[in-house]
Amino acid sequence: MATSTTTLAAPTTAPVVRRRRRRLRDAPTFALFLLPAVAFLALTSVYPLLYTLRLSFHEWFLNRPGTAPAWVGLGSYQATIGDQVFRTSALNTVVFATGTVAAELLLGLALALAVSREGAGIRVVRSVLLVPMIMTPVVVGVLWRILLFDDGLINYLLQAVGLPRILWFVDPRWAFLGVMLVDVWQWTPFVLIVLTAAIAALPSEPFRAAQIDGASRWQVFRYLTLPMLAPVLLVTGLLRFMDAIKVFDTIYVLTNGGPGYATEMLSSYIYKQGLRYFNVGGAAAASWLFLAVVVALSVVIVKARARASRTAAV
Amino acid sequence: MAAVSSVPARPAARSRRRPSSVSAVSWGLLRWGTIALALLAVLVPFFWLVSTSFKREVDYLADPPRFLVENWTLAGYETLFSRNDLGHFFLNSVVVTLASTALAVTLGSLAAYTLARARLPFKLNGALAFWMLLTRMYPAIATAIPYFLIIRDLQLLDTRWALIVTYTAFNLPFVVWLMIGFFEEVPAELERAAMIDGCGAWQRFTRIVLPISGPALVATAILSAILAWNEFLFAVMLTRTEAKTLPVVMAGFITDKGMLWDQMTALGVVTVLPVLLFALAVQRYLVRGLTLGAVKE
Amino acid sequence: MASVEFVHVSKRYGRVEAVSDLSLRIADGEFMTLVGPSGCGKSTTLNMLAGLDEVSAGEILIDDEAVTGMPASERDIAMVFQSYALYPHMSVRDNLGFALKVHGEAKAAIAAKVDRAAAMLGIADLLDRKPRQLSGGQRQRVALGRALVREPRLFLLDEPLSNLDAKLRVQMRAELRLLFDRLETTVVFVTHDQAEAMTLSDRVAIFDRGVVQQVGTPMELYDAPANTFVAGFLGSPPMTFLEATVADGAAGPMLAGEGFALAAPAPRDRLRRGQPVVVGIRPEDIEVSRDAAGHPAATAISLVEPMGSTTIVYAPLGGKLIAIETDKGTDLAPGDPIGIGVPPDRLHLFDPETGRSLSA
Repeated sequence: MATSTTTLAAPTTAPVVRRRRRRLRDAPTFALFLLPAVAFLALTSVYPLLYTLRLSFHEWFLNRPGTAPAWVGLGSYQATIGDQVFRTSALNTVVFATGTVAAELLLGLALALAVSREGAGIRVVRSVLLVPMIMTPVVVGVLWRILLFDDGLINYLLQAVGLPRILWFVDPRWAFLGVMLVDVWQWTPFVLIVLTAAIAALPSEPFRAAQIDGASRWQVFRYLTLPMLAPVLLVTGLLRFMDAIKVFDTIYVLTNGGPGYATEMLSSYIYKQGLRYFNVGGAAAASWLFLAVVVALSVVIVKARARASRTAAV
Repeated sequence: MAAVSSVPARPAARSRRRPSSVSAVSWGLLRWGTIALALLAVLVPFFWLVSTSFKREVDYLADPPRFLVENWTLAGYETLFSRNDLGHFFLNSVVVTLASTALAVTLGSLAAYTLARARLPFKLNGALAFWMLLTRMYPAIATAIPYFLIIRDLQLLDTRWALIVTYTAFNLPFVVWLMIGFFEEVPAELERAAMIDGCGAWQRFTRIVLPISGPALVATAILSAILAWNEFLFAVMLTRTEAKTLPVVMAGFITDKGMLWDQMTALGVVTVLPVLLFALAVQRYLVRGLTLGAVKE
Repeated sequence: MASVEFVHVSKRYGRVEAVSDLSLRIADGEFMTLVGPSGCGKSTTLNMLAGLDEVSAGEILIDDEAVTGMPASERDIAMVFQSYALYPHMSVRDNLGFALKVHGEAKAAIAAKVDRAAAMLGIADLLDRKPRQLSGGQRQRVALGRALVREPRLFLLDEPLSNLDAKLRVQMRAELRLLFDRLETTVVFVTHDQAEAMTLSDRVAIFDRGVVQQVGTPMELYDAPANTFVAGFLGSPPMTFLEATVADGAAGPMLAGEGFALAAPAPRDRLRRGQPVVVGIRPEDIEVSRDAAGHPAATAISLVEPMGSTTIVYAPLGGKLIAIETDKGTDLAPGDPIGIGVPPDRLHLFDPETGRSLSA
C-alpha cells in the first residue's frame, strides 16, 4: 500500500492557542441590536408590573392630598376579594368570555366552511367579512349603541318579525346579552380568517381518499375536517379567550358597566377603582389577581400553540 | 386548496351523476344562504354607520328608522370639524401612530433578528421570546395605575409623548414575535454566504435580511399601526384635552353630547376609514399577525 | 493560493462528536474532496474551515497561519453552497459583485471582474436577471461565478452539483474540473457522490462517523482501500464482501467460504490456516466461466442488468448476491450456471473484526 494514502496527523509546529469563539466579533453588534428593545420593555412593562405589585400591599387614595402609601400587607387583597362588585365583575368576565368565544368558534367555523371553496366573488366576501374586526373598537361601541337604541334599527327589525322591543340598556340580562352580541359581531371574523387559512392548508389527499371511499359530506366533516382543525380551533379559542377577558373599549362606550354592575368586567372594575375612586391599592390588588389567571392561561396557550404548529398543517 | 366542500356528498356509487342533484342544490343554498346572512350582518351595521353620518336629525331619529332619505347632508361632518378642533386630534392620532410604529418596528426588528439568528448564552433566546409573548398577553389594565402615576410624575400627562412611549411598549413584543418568524424563514445559507462574502452582523441585517423580508416588515408595521390607531384604554387615561386621539374624542361624544349621532358617526367614519384601507393592503398577513404567528397563511 | 492544515480538530454538538481528532494537510493548489455518507462530518469540516462553525478543539491553519478564531469574513475564502444561496433580491450582476462591494472595491474594478467571471462561465447574457428567473444550471453557474469573482486563496464547494439533474451534473462535473485546472487554486470539495470524488479530485479524504478513514489519490483509494468502509464506498456497483476462512489447497492457501474456494493472494505467509477473513471482490475483476461443473465457485445467474456500455449480472455466492461486470454483448441469461474466478492479486482481504485491510 502506498504510504501517501495514510497522511494522517502531519506533525505541526504551530502553537495550539486557546480557541476563540467565532461569533466574538458579531457579539457586540448583536448585543447592541437586542439591548434597546429589552431595556425599553423592562422599563415599560416589568417596572410598572412590579410597581403594581408594590402598590397592591399598600393603601393609598390618590384623591386625598398629602397622603402617602401605607403598608397594609394583604389587606387590599382581602378587601378586593371581599368586594361584591369585584366578584360580580370576575364572574361576568368569565361568563362573557366563555359565551362569546363559544359562539364565535361555532359561527366562525360554519362561515369558514361556507367560504373555504374558491369561486367567483368569494375573495371579496372574505374581505368584507373582516371589516368588524378591523374597526376601531370605540367606533364599534358607538355604532351598536345607536343600533341597540330603544327606537333603533335592531328593535325595529325585531318588531318587523313580530318580536317585542327590547330595552337593551335597562334590563340587566339583555344588557349583558347585548355586549356579548357586539363582541361576537366584532370578533367572529377573527375566528373566520384563521380557520379559512387553516382549512386552505389542509392536505388534499385524505379528502380525495374519502371521496373515493364514498364518505358523506357530514362524515367528511366529522371524521376528517374537524379532527384536523382541532389544534387550530384550540389555539384560536384560547387566543380569543385571552382577548375577551380583557374587554374594555366597547363596554366603556356601550354600557360603562351598567345597568348597575350588570356588565361590569374586570378591566372596567380596575379602571374605575383606580381612576374614578382613586383606590390605588385596591386596583393594584385586583390587577395582580387578574394577572395571575392570565399568566396561567398564557402558559397553556404557549404549550397549545407549540402543539398546534407541530401537529396541524398550518 | 382542500376545502371540505370540494368533496361531493354523493355516495361513490351514484357520484357519476352531475352535481345538479337535489342534495348538491340544497347544500349550495345553505352555503350561499349562510354567506348572505353573514354579509348582511356585517354590511347593514356598516351601512348604518356611514348613512347616519349623512342624515339630518329628523331622519336619524325617525321612528321607524329610515334607510334611505331624500335630503342627504354633509352637515354632520361640517359641524364635527368646525365645533371641535378635529384636525388637531386627527394629527394627534397620526403622529402617535406613526412615531410609535416607527420606534417599535426599528427596535423590534433588530431584537427579532438577534433572537432569530444569534445563539445567546443561558438559553436567552427562548426565555426572551417567552417574555415578549407574556408581555403581549397580559392585560394592559394591570399596568394602568402605575403607568398613570409614572407619566404624571414625569409631567407627561396629556402629551403625545405619553402615548408614543405606551404604544411602542405595546407593539414592541408584537413586532418581535412576528419578525422572528419572518426572519427565520430567510434561509440560513444566505447569511452564511454573506459571512463568506465579508459581511458582519450589521451588514447581513441591512443588506440581506431586511431587503428580503421587506414586505413582511411593511405588513408588520401596518398591523402595529392599526393597533396603535385603535387603542383606547391608555389614550383615555393619559390624555385630557391636548393630546386626545380620535377614539377618545369619539368616547367623549357619548358622555356629554347626547344624541349627536350625525357627528358621532361622521367621526366614526373618519376614524375607521384609514384603518380599513391599510388593513386591506395587508390582508395576506392578517392571519399571521393576529395569531402571533401561530397560524401561517 | 493557499495550503490548509487541520491539526487535531474536533467538533462537538453537546455530547455528539461530529468530527473527531481530524488531522489533514491540503497542499497549495490541490483539489481535495471530502466524501462520505450524510452525517459523516464532511460538511462540518468544511464549515469549520470556512469559519461558519466553531471549532471545539484543535487548530486550523491556512498558509500556516492559525485562523481558528477568525470570522469567516476575514479568511479570504469563497464558498459555493448546495442551495447556491443566491441573494434573491439582487440581480446576477449584484450577486457576483456583492463581496467586492462589501470589501470596498472601486465600481469600475468590480464591473470588470464581474464581466470577466461572467464570460468565463458563459452567463454574460444573464447579468440583469434575478435568481428566480434562472434555471437550476444557470443558478449553479452564478453561484460559481460569485466565488470566482473574489479571486480567493481558497475555494470551498459544498455539494455544489447535487441539486442538478443527473445529466447536467455529469456535464458540470467536467466543466468544474477544467475550470479549476485553469485557476490552479486550492479547492476543498464536499460531496456524498463517490463518482464526483473519483473524477474531480487530486486527492480524496473519505469520512465516516466523524473520522477520516483514508486519504489518497482516487486510484490509490480504489485499488488499495484501507478498510471495508472505503472499499464499499467507492465503486458502482460496489464491491461484494464474502466471509471466508483460510484453508490449505493443492496450490497453496485457499479462501474457502460457503460454496466457494478462491486462491489466496500473495504474500501468503501472513495468512494462518483457519483464520477468518472478509474477501472483497470488485465486479470488474471477476472472470466468468461457462464451465460450472466441478468449478470451485459455482453458482447460477439470478439477474441480468444491461447498463448500455456494460452488463451487470448478479449471482448468489457465499450467502450474498455478487455483482459481476461483463461485456455489453453478453448472452448470459438468468438461470445459466457459471463458475466465478478472480485473479488472486485482485482480491481484497479484510479483518472481519476491525474491517481493516489485511493487504498492507
